[in-house]
Amino acid sequence: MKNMKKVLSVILAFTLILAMGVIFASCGGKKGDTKIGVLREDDSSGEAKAWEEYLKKMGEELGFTVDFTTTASSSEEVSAINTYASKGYDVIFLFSDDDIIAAVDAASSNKMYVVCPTGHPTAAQYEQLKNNEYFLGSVAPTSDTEYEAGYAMAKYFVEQKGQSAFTIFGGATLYGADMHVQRLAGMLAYFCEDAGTSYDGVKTREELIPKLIGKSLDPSKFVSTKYRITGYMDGFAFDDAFSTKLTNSLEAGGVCVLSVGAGDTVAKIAYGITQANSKVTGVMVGGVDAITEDYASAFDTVYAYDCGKFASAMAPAVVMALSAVNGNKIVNSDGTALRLGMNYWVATSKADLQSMLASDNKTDGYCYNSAVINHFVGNTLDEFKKLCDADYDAAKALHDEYNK
Amino acid sequence: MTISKNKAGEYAKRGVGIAIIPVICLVVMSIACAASGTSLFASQSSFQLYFRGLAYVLLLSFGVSINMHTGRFDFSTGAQMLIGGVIGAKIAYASGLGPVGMILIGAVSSAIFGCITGLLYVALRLPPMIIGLGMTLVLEGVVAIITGGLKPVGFGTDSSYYSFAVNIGAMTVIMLIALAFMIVVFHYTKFGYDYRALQTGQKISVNTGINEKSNAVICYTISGMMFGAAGALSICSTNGVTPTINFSTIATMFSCFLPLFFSGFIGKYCNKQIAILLGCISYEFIQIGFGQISFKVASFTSDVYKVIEAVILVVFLIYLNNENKIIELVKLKNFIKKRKDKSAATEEQ
Amino acid sequence: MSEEKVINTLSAPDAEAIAEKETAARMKKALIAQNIVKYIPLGACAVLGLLYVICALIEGYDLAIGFKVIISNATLVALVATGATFIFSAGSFDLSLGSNMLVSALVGGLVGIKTGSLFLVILTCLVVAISLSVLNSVLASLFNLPVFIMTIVMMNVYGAIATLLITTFGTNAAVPVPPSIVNSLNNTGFRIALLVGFEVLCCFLFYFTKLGRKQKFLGGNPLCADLTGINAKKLTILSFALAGIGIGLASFAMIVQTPTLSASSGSSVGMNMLIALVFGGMNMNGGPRSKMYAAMLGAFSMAFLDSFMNIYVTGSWYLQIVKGILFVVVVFLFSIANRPKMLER
Repeated sequence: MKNMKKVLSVILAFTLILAMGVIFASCGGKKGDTKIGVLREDDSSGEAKAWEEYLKKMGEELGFTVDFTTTASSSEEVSAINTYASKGYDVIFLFSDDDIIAAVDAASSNKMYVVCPTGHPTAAQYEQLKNNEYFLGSVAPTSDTEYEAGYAMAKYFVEQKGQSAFTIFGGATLYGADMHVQRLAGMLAYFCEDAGTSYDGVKTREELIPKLIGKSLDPSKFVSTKYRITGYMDGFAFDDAFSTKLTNSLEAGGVCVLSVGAGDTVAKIAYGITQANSKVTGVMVGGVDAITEDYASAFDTVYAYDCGKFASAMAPAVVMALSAVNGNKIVNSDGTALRLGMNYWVATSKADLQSMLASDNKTDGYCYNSAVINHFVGNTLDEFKKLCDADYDAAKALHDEYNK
Repeated sequence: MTISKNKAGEYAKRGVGIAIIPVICLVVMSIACAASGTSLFASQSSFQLYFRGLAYVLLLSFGVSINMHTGRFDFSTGAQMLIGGVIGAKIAYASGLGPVGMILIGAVSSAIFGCITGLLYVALRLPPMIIGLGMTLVLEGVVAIITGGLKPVGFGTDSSYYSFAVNIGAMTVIMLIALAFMIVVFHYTKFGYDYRALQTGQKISVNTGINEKSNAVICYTISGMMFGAAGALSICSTNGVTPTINFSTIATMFSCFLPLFFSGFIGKYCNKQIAILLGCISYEFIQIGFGQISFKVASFTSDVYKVIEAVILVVFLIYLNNENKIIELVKLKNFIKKRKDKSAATEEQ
Repeated sequence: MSEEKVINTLSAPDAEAIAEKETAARMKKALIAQNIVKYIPLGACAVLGLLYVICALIEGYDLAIGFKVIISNATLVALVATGATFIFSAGSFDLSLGSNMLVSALVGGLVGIKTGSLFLVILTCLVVAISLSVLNSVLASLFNLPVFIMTIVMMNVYGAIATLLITTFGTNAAVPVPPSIVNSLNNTGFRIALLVGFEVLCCFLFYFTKLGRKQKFLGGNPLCADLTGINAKKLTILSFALAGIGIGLASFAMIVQTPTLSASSGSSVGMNMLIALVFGGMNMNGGPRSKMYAAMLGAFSMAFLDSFMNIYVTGSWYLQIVKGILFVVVVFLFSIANRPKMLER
């Protein structure tokens, strides 16, 4: 009897609260400024901080509100989207990609636009989403760009730096992360252009990718008369096992470290090993990461090549969002959502990197500032593509043209 | 003659009990590495990494054992390690105090947070797990604020921190200091005497007048100190750290379970603190071995050796909790065999 | 006559009556305090809910969507925590529930991809969850291992298995279950039905059957329970099996909510479940003071708190600090009436 009373009182309490919710459910959200909610998994890296500062600055200049939520799983993503919906937000920038379909479904059911500015949905996911009225599309480096980034990095260290023995950090390749797989495939494809080089009997991109996806690279399967891969690490634990493998590989002569990501962490550890171990000299690290201040300081250690996204890389997403909210959505010629590539910027020295940062920072002004964005908002697709395709030099030219 | 024979036998038994686990780990991992085409200690750097890992896991194990062996399971271990390491790194690097300064500051900072945890525990009289969970949330949040929103903490081009962590001499000194401290404090002071009394009989000890509350606070403080030092060492090992929150620090403490369970067996034959050291020595052989094997065998990924480590832990736990039954089983089999042999011999006659 | 003389002149029966009255008054006070403390978790939930509603109204937020978010956030945690109550009330502990949920969801998802059958997905989730949950307790019972340590080990093992499943069978670091299988259930009504249905079942088993009484007895006094003929091992295994049902339902709810499963899916459920139980007033040592509805109360309290904080605070670390402090404060308030003399272990 006592327990029945307790259970009943709990049920009554819930009913009361839910009822209050239903009664007041007719109250709508705030209207006013455009509101953009950003969902991200990484909120601590230099890249994440750079984008946050850029979006906040553009928000001030262009008159939109931007808010950031860090999520760790797909259900948190959906929950955050619904929370933004209850607050009357208009657009979601989806940095995390745990479940794009569920995220877009949640946003579109609440009449919020979605842009993916850091990665693309898979081909199958894009087919599902391309006709969704609220899915504006994705604008980020494509698989081809990722592949070319890895290829160019390997080429740089071989042709410019005369390296032939490598240690490779594969990041999330083991978990099938497409961007890391493509970067790694790019590196190997460059090496395999040499007649006497192959990996597990294959040489081309199409053949290499199935050998790499979901697996750890096996240096013993890399056969070459010109190059050596002395060691391979993956995962982001950076524990004793990682240090052991990196040390062994460096001691075996693989002093050129090619990293598909987290190059600054790898460089720090490699630098420490170099300083503490007299057997290891001439270490240099290259990574596909980001053009930020953290990487500028990494160049003071053993970091020698930085290829990555920059602060203004968020500009195309802002253009797409504002165009849609203003009723001039930028779409493909067949009316489907966009799926556009973006280029990376590449720096091969600290001076290079710092000059890039000088033209794209919060204090001195961003490369794609409000003047540039205003030109592209509501513009044609062909014009918009100029913004997306620009490399560093073209980006500077765009800045100069629209800031006369 | 009989007495000295017995004593010799006793010493031999003790010696075997103390050495058996480290020796088995060393031999098994050496064989596994050889089978994979490498060796357990392939070069000088392997020894450096071994001592670094050993120092880290020893400090962590000492800290965890203090509370765990009295029935207090503290989830805030990893958070205390992180906050001590981060504070130590930021202050030491900014003031040029170097790695020794970093470890000292880290130890003191975490000792303070450990003390706060202990005071909350005795004041609120809540289960240690609850206090630990709450403190984990709070400390992780504080780390995020200290680091200006989880920004990376590093040492720029100053490699002295990493070099310190791979200096065998320095790591040995740290381990000896920690070991001496633990032995003296827990075995030769009144505090240690009270601690061991409370460990084995809480109610009786309190009834005899032991101040359980001050003892608990001191335990938490010493644990915090160990965690802070371990955290500082961990940050030196990776030449920096990017903190994360959302209970990500809780998993840190699980890495010392295997060495502590090893020490549970070894501790029957020697001093508890030395048993923990030997447990850590054994564990680190396994860790270095895994690293060497995965360098040669691409499919031996971190997930695979996590499972293997868990299996070793379970198997060892099964043995530890059923040792008597296993011995009986072995003896019974021997006994039955002897009886059979005897009756067979009698029949022949 | 002075007062003292008056008192001294009272007869023995009168003095006795006064003493009895004083004792009765003290007992009444203690009872009132106990009753007040008993309703603290419910009160906390109601206060947090009201606070959220009022503040959301002031800010002009859409409460319909807000409540959808709250129910969705609370569902997974409430399901797992409700099932876990059987384990905790019997005096056991399990930290592997979150990892178990992920593995069950992954296996269920893979079956869904292969067969396209919703029924098979649900069945697989339940079977795998119950099997893994029972495995913990069977290993612990069979080999006399401390259950707590066993569950920590298995948490790591299940996590590694989940990663292996994703790398072996997934694409792009995820297992994408076709949304068409589960879309029809992706609504608040389904989640409420699942929650209420499971809660009613568990409350019935816990409060109106011998099972619940035996569990409370075992959690309260294992020695007496053993002496009265309760088979602790069998009962523990049954408790874990019942918890497995909650985990299975939660893993299915996770697939419905977000059909693409990755290594981080449901990552915070394991620890949030513990916090929810404590927020809801559950005694972590089990025993007669265990409450089945604590899980639901706690899960909703946390969901209201998260939503309330989201109105004013950006930056998840401030929310985390507040949660940590509130967590300890709520548990302390709840334990006021039952403060142990010695320190808890």
